[in-house]
Amino acid sequence: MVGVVVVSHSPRLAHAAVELALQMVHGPAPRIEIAAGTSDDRLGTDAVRVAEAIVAADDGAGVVVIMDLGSAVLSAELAVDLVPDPGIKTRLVSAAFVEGIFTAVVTAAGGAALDDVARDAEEALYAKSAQLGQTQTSTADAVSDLSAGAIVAEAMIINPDGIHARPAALIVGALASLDAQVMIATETSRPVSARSPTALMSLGAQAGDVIRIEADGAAASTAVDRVVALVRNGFGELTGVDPLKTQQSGGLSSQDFQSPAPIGVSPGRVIGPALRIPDPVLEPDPRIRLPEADRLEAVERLGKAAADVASQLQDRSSAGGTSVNCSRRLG
Amino acid sequence: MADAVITIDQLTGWVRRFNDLVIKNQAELTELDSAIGDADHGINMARGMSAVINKLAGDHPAHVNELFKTVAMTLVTSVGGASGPLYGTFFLRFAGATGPATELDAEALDMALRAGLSGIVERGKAATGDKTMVDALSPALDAIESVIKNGGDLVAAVVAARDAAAAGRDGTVPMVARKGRASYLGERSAGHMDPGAASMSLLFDALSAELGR
Repeated sequence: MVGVVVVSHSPRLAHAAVELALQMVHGPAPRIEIAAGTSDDRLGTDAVRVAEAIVAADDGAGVVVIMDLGSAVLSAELAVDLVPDPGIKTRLVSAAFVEGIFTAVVTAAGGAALDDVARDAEEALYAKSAQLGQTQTSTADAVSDLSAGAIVAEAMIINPDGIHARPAALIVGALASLDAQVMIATETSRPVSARSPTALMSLGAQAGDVIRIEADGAAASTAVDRVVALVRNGFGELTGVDPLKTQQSGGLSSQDFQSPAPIGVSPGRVIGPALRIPDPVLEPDPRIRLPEADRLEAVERLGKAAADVASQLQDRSSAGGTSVNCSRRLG
Repeated sequence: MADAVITIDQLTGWVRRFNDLVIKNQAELTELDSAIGDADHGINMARGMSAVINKLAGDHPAHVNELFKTVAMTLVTSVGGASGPLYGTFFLRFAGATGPATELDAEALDMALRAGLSGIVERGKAATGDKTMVDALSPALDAIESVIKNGGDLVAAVVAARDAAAAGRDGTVPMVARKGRASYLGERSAGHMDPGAASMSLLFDALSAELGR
């Protein structure tokens, strides 16, 4: 599986973007390595860490590198020079950061080859442009050269949110292991590659739209069947059943089409109060030593802080258990 | 010619003097960067060079390539901003060009600096006139080569390089930036000296000071 390296000035930015992408991966995930921030916890990038991340992310299938901006790009370029093993195929991708990571992770999880993962990540902004009505050409939607013998099927989208990020990821995942070229079109848009999550999202297929699936190749028939099954069961968004699991266990039951429960981009979306997660407490640098003269004062400061914390904890526990959490709630 | 070569000890001294100058001018470099960048060049370079000096306190590289590889890798891991990979690439290529030498003559120094310049140009995709460190480095190398060609010695070449780097640095003031963060400012970047050119000029100040000039 193609590995993904995320280079950012900010570890929190990188982790959050990766977390968002991993929501869409339901099977085995690709190797994802983050090289973000400096060794002394400032915003910045470090080419040596990027090089180590490239080595760690490679399992032989190659690595795509997604960067935020400025020195992240320079560090990634230098890192390619620093990687000791010249055999690691590495692509630095000029992708939008969030969209690029999202697409690279989903496409890599789907088993795509290095060049395809890199291309899809680069074109990841296409879905957003299309959504906003701004045209942009994608190479993933211009390759409709299927033979006359292609297998064709049509299916109506029944899940209320249409082909958004999660269904797109499911289609890519369902086709991952199949030897087939698969294109999907709607009545109003040109065929796009069914192996590209962003191209699929750019279709803008909504509930009630009929999509046309065309497949060519040894596994064309299976490919079409899988996509049709996903569409017909509403991508699992009608019942909360994971459609891939259903598919593997051999078909859908009528129960899958009942219970129009709420749906969302993740298998379960609920509305609730947000809890702010405090910043992680950083380990102090053991190399930093206080000068002798300042130590007494520092001890006094620590003592006072400890006493303050103890008294606050006492206040809170006497005011009732839940108020501790309430004070941290947003909104 | 007393100074036909620059020894490994002098090259180490060059690195130390560069650190001293960066720290001395840290506030000024940061101020330049706050006008047209993200106000971290002085801080980042001072942190990076301090880390280099700490590293060299433990290691005593016997060969020129080891010395500058240490400088490069330490800068890369400790600077954080764009000057990390840029100066890192410069010193890595410098090290690659010298090989395991223990001293450099004028030609070898020129070749190593030239390799460093190519690295920066390749990494940053900058040309002269883009308002970057290249605008100080490139004329400095032209000056060295001109002195060598006219039969001048190493010291004369380094002094000429220092003066050319300073002139190149000053020449960045009216330029409109075409690379780096300053390029986002467009025309508004004119009227400010480029901080990268300023720190690069310090590198040549340090070299000539090490040779007693």
